[in-house]
Amino acid sequence: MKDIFRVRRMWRPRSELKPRYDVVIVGGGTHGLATAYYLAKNHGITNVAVLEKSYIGSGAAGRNTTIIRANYRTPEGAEFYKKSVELYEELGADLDFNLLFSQQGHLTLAHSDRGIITATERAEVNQLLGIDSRVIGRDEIRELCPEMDLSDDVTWPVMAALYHPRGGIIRHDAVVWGYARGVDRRGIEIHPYTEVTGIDRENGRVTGVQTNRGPISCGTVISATAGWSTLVCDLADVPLPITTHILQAFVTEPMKPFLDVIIVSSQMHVYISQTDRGEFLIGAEIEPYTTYRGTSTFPFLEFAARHTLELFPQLERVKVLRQWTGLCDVSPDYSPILGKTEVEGFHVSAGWGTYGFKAAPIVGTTLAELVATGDTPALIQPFELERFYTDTLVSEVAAAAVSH
Amino acid sequence: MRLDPRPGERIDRSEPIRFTFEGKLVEGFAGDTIGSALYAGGRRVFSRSFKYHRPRGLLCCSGACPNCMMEVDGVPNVRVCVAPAHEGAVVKAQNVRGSLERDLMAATDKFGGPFTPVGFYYRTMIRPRAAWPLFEKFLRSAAGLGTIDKHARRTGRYDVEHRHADVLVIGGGSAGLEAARAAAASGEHVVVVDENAPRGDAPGGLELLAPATALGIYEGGLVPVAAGRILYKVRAKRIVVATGALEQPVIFPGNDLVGIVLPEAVRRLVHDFSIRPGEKAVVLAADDDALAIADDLRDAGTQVLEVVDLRNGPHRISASGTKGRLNGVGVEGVRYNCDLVVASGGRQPAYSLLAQAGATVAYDEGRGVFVPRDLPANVEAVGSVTGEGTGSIAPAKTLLGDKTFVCLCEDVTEKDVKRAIAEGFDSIELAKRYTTVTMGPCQGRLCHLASVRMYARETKQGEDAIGTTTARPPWSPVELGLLAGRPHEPGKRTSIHHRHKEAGATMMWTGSWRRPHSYGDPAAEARAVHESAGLIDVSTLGKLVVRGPEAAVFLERIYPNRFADLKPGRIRYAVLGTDGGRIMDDGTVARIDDETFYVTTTSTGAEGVIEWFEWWNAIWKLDLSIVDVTGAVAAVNLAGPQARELLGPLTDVDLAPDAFKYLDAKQGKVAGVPTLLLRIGFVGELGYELHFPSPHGETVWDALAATGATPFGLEPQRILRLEKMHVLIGQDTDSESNALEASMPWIVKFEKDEFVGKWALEHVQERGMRDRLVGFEMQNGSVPPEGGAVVRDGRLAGRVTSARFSEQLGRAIGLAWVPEELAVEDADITLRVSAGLERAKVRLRPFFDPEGERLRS
Amino acid sequence: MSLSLDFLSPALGEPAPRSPLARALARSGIRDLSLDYGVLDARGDLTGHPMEGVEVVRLSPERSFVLCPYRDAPGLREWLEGRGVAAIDASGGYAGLEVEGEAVMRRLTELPLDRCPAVGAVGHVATLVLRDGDRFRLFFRQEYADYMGERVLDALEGLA
Ligand SMILES: Cc1cc2nc3c(=O)[nH]c(=O)nc-3n(C[C@H](O)[C@H](O)[C@H](O)COP(=O)(O)OP(=O)(O)OC[C@H]3O[C@@H](n4cnc5c(N)ncnc54)[C@H](O)[C@@H]3O)c2cc1C
Ligand code: FES
Repeated sequence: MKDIFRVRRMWRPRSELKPRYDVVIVGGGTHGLATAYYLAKNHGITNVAVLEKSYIGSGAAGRNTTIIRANYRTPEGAEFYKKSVELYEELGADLDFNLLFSQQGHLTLAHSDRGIITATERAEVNQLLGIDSRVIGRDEIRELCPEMDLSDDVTWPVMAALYHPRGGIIRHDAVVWGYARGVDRRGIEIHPYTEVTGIDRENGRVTGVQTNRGPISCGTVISATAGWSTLVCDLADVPLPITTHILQAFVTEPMKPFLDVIIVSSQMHVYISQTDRGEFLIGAEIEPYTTYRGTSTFPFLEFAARHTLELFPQLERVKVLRQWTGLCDVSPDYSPILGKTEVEGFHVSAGWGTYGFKAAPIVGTTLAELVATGDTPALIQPFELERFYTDTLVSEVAAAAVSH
Repeated sequence: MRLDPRPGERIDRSEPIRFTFEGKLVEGFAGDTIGSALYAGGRRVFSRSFKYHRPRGLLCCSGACPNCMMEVDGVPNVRVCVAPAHEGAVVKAQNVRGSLERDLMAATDKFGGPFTPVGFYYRTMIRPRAAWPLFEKFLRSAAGLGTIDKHARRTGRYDVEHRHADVLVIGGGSAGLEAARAAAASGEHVVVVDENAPRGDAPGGLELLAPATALGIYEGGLVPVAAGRILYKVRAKRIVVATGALEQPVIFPGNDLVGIVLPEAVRRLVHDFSIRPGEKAVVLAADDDALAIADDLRDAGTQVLEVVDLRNGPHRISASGTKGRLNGVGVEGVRYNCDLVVASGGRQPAYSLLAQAGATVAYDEGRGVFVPRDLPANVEAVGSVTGEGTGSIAPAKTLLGDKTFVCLCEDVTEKDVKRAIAEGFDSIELAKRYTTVTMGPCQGRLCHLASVRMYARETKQGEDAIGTTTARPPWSPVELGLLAGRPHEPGKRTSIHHRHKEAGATMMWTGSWRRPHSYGDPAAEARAVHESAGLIDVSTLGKLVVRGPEAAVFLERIYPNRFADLKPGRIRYAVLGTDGGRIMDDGTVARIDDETFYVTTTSTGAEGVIEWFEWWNAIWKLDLSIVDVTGAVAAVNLAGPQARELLGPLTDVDLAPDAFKYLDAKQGKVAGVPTLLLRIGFVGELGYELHFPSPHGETVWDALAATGATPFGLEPQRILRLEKMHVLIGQDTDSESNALEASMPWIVKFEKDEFVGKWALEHVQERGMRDRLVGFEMQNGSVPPEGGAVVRDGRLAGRVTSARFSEQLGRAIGLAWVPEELAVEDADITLRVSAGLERAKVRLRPFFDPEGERLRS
Repeated sequence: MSLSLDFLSPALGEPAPRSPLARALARSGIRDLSLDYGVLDARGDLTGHPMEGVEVVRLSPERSFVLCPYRDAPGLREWLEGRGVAAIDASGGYAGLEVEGEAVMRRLTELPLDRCPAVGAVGHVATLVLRDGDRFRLFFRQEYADYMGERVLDALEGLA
């Protein structure tokens, strides 16, 4: 309790850049900070700098809709995200920071036979891996969410749902700050407003980076730049099979508790949750065009509102407070690209599309292990960039496109 | 409290209005807002604050702050100061347990205040983990403002109106109107939007939307304007922003007490509603306009104790009250007993719309406000939004920071801000997220400038270095219902749709189409197809005409299969692949003549296929056209051993087996309608797929139904096609499946020079098959779920994609992906059924009529 | 007998065709144009071919819609094909209706109404809009007929 009242700095003010670090992490989002955190915590590697071109959490980390779940479709994916959820469950205690993790349960609605098949596929894979996940019918849905319109006279009647009791939402900024504090306290430097503008190599090996604050030499560079991954990897001449799109979301005015389960409808391209503050947090799928420009659009609001009201007609008079946009680095199979590249010492965490927030702890753990041991941990081997050359894609299209 | 009638008042005293507040009667006049009527009746506390449940009263009286939100007729968060009073309205306080005067939750203020410093919840209830969910429940019920009626129904009564204009002026103040008049005078069509209800008629030549709020300036210059239940979507060649400036509160201890108001509140109460705002008042202001409010007060009979010009350097100010209501204010050590303080810290340009449109925002050192710069093309700013005539005073340092509010929406105090800085949240964006300043319902109107200036002061930097936070639309909160508009969703129906409904079909979605699932008894419908004849509406199939001298070359290149050698009058099965060798869609190709092909696609794939065709031909530039005739053509499939006899009398086409063979296409009339007849059979029986103009859908359907053929839906069709082991693209295949592993190697002609995806399929051939799509037969008759797992050694080894019980075969059958080693006839596989394991045998040949004798008969 | 594209032409059928809007607009008083107009989807240069009693709407330099009396579509198609213009009889693919007044159109579409003919979303459905004074003719894919009928009637009603 005492810590509530004591005013204690979360992190040190930014220092001067040193000429050399063992590891440079590009990107001060959840992935970059988590990687730094586990480098220090699990491997004692602390001569590390996290470089962030803006303030920490300024990218997708501070814009996402924070759904955390493990009910993916492929065994590779489900196993990976399962570990991440487990880490998230302990993360608050680990960081000694309440992340307001609200494991309210997660419902992916099926409005068609095809939707039920996809839900079944996921439930089966999940159950085999010990993930709490099952297909439920309307009666059980009604019990979990009596407010939802489950009648037949809507455009897309709800037929069934994939239920994942441990799915939840969290306070995204708290994750960023908690990690940043942990990183700072372990001696790693965080450098906000420091942009990487070049990646130096010699004989196919990384030797350092160029920044707006001068050059740094280092033996390992990790790009954890999500929506900017293609640009940063370009600096090392590593082409990624990624297209960048925007994803939008909005919140309403805070309301008294109404909904205490996360609702996702892929058919309607909309998902809805209510945060601890009482706001409804509503999102959709990525915009189909590719861009790095993050302007919000009005058609998105109209579209998402239309579909929200199909599910929850009671929200007709609830007001939208603000909308925003984030960048998404979308890979062809909706699975991430993790680990080594053809440039020695240059590792990536990319291809996170609309679903990377939930993976931060496991990405951090596994990338830190990769740096410390030089070997790619088994858990992330399926996600190596190499898979696009060997044609061993990990298709999560059916489980990740709108579900986040 | 109501003054004698005054010239220019908005109320109509000849028309009384009565409504209830918390069950008690309130009286007002036409022209009153709910808020003004309540105020006239003596009510001063209008709400309880978000976090500490402190009493709050009218502050701006112009819809800009969080202080007067109530529930009106079941609608939460209504700003009653601008909501017109109407007869019979039911008004309730929100966010209180008890009443506005006695709110149980107010304990959070007394005890919670010191116990809940900013960000406190991040540092509590961390261990044990079980404590958090309980505390969370409490936190959730304490948060949130209005309550949603769980039984509320959707009215859907909203309208959209699209407007095109030469000039859109946002803001109908003097600068806006002047710009509008000038534009109108030069013959331009001008639309003016203003937040306030109009006084009298719009000036000549202008179209006035009021009261209405521009929500943002979006891409392409789209300006959505919310006006009650109408959403105007305005597109103008030129946008003039004249949104003026926002009066800013003064930051001092006790500044949230009920009775501390902005000058605009006084203007409106006095001039619009003829109400005396208070008995004794002190005016604290930083601009001439606001100082002049003293005259309005005197005019309304309020005693003005003191007028303080805040521009004369920093002042030590603090207010005191009882039960949240102001009883006095101290200025430079002098105390004034009063029930009203009119305080204005200056005016800040209302630049949000401009910023969102792409303007940059810079700090104007001289004025002490942020001003818009570098306006985007076709957007202009006039009046005080440019900074003209605006200015703000620096917030004075206060000592008693506890009850000095920077942000009323979120109950953030000066102390919270200082604490955030001390903790390291030293950039404005970080601080905003930590303290939640500017994130409440006022969208930063009343707290953004103050928080930035306080930051600058505390971190000893200039305001320009602190910068502003990103302006996020919409500019004013907007109802979901207004955004959603009328509750209609486009859905596609075939020209035979109503016949299915009349026959009692249950309808289901396939993509954006509605289709019959069955007409009540799927097994009987399937039986009819096997025993006599069935009839199914397949109008939803995508249909294309590919035509031109190079049409054959095109198909040859785009499909893995061969089409150049297809003879006119013949049909071939066609699987379309991506350039990565994945299966994209399937269908049939019939050759009409040398240069014309009729291509069908799946029902859900049509649009994708057309796009795909057009995309490739934009590259290849072959001489041909691709015309989508999906909707123009209705199609029904008549299938079953009796199909020939039943169809015969209706058509002039010779149906004799040797004249009209399997995979032949013929042309003729059916029931008098020009028809293309395709002899193909998805369901495994002798069948004719009839394609004819949509407007004759019901005619042909009726004629066929009259022969005794049994209508059947998608469900029986699925059973039938499964018996034939016909693959359903998208169900039996996914985005990673290729034709080789999907057990359709015969459709891939590697000997062709080039086709889309060839390299990828060659690669599959080289690396060898990993998984294969095979049939299976259950050993004990139970039906595994579609999507179910194929299990080996406790791990996922494959998936069941289709499964049904076939009455015809007396067995449960299906299709599944299995590892290549198991893709041999009779191999044993294990499937998960209701979380248990069951055995099945692999089958590689169709379950029913493996030689296709019935199909070819 | 060799094959042709006759099966695309509803006008070649002997029984009377049925308008896809017949049900949606029954008793509404709105004019149903579905069986008044034949629609040809034409590729090629139409400028050199003056035709009487038809309307040509250019969608792109290469592609046009030709609107003609319903029964004339097959004949006109043959005539055009004879002149080297590839044309497909798409009459069966389109439903059409006529509404009066800009007010209702503004509720349905963001198309600039002073620049008709135009193609764009009307009530979320791609539509060809033709304007004669205050009368608007709308043509859209027939599979949306029920939806559009309902949508237009609802829009006409307004908030009243
Ligand atoms: C609207 C929205 C909703 C989403 N919802 C969910 C969800 O519900 N669940 C979920 O799991 N995921 C969700 N996501 C996805 C998720 O947010 C991202 O995949 C994830 O946050 C990416 O990892 P990150 O936090 O490290 O990325 P970021 O926070 O984007 O971090 C990347 C950082 O790199 C910095 N950077 C870029 N270039 C440079 C450079 N040259 N030099 C220095 N720094 C640089 C950027 O400034 C940025 O801060 C959502 C995304 C969006 C946009
Ligand atoms: S008093 Fe009503 S919004 Fe400010």
